[in-house]
Amino acid sequence: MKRKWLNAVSTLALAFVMLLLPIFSTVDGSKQTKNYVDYTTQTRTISADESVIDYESIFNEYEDAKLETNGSLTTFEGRQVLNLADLEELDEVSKKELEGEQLNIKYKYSFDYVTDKVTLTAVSIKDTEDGEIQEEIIDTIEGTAFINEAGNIDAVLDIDGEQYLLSELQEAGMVEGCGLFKKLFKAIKKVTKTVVGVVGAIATVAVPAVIGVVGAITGVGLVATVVVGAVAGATIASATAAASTAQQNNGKVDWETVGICAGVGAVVGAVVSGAAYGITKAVQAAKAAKAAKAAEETTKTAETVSKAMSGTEKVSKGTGYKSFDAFKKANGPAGKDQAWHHIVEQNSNNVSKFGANSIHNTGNLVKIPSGYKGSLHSKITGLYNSKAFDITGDASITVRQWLSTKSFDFQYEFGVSKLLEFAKELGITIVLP
Amino acid sequence: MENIKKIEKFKTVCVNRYNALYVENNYVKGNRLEKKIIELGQELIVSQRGVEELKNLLSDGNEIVRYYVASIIISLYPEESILVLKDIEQNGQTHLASNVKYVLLNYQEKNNYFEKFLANSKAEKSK
Repeated sequence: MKRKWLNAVSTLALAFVMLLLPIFSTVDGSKQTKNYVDYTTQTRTISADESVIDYESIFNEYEDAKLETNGSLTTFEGRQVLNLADLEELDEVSKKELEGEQLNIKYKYSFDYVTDKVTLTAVSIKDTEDGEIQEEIIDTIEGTAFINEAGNIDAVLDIDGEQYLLSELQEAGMVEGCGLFKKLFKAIKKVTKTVVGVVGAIATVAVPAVIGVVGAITGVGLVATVVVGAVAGATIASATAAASTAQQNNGKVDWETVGICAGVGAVVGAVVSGAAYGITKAVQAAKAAKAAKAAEETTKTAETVSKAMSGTEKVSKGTGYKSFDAFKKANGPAGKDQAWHHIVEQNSNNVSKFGANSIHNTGNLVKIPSGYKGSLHSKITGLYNSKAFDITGDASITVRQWLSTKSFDFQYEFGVSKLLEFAKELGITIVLP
Repeated sequence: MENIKKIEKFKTVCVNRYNALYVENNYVKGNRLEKKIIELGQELIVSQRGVEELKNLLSDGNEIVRYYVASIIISLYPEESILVLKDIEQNGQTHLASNVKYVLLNYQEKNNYFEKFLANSKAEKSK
């Protein structure tokens, strides 16, 4: 009887283990997958040192400043009169033709802390001959805030149909930018610093040329502070801060639908989940198709140029690694104000085409000055992020996108020649592989 | 906008685009100005008058302006444009000198943006 009972228990236990085995395997497997999309709610708790913001001084910068909160949506509106003469190159970088000596600009800002959508709009206001007030949108930039893999706040901005990572722009020193918001930025820079000081722990995201977008979720008065931001920053940050005071959640900020994808995006490097942030797969597919077409058209070009210098030869003599981390482990860090730079870039397209061993290879990596505005690294990155119809034969793709469709040797030759060119300009010597 | 105004603006935008990318290291600003160059180039290249005015810029005193104009009208005036580009490649003082080979290769490969734009415009008109 006892033996029968033991047998039954053993059988049940075995069945139970067999049932659970695939479940555990799945869980374990998901942990090992790097390119995942996580839609779970994430919580961050950040301390603030103080809790006072001088809204008055910020609002004084504007006429008819208005701040409203409706549910999760916060909006700010304010007007400023700008002298065109003070705005260098404004006429060229704004989307609309601007006439006259002065511009009456209404800035509109909105931030939704549930969807993380941030929008900044500049509207010109004119009085018509009939006494009517005519409003015309000069520029709009939309962005989406998210928490990156390192746990910091970042944002993806859509500028003229291109996606830019705010952190990338900040690193490149382009935050102050130019154009419409230039004066505004200068005027509020001091205030921004004050606000930043007040709220304490902050992940500031500012914007590049023309427009900045600062969003904020701030638990002022208690301890939760997270600021996601823009150039119109102080105003916006404080505006949102004020609005979201009521929305604070015991010192915690809940981020809903934060999809963090470890994959490398074609446009902005390591970015976020397309589904979560509007960088849809459809857009990426369209860009890839366009790039593939460009590749087809210029294959012969690549072959011609590659004869001048062979990156393949360099790499065949070098040592390859399965990852960049493995390379750095073996070769050490680049050092202060230096970075390891991949001559043929380490994007997913290149890695799958040429193999990790060719990309993370001593023949393809070079140590160059980095981490400050005007560094060799920022210059070469800027060129790769630029659009150049003359080089690419296309008005819509960046040099990086164009290059990624080329052969290894073509990319290598292009990368080396530009590195040498910029190094010469900066008066520095680099040791090529 | 009158053509004269457009030409003046075109020249300014070309120089500012170059400066944004290579001097100020601000590619976002550079990309916006690049778009502006394309817009102005398209507006000018569709009219005979505009094309002639662009052609005159092949002898402009500024290397940056000459480079962009040659890149735009190379399919319409290949001889003159290639001459200008070759000169920039050999004697140029800007970063554009090293880009000349790509402009020339694109032209050979019929991958010039404005050539494709003109072909599309003609196709649209004939519909």
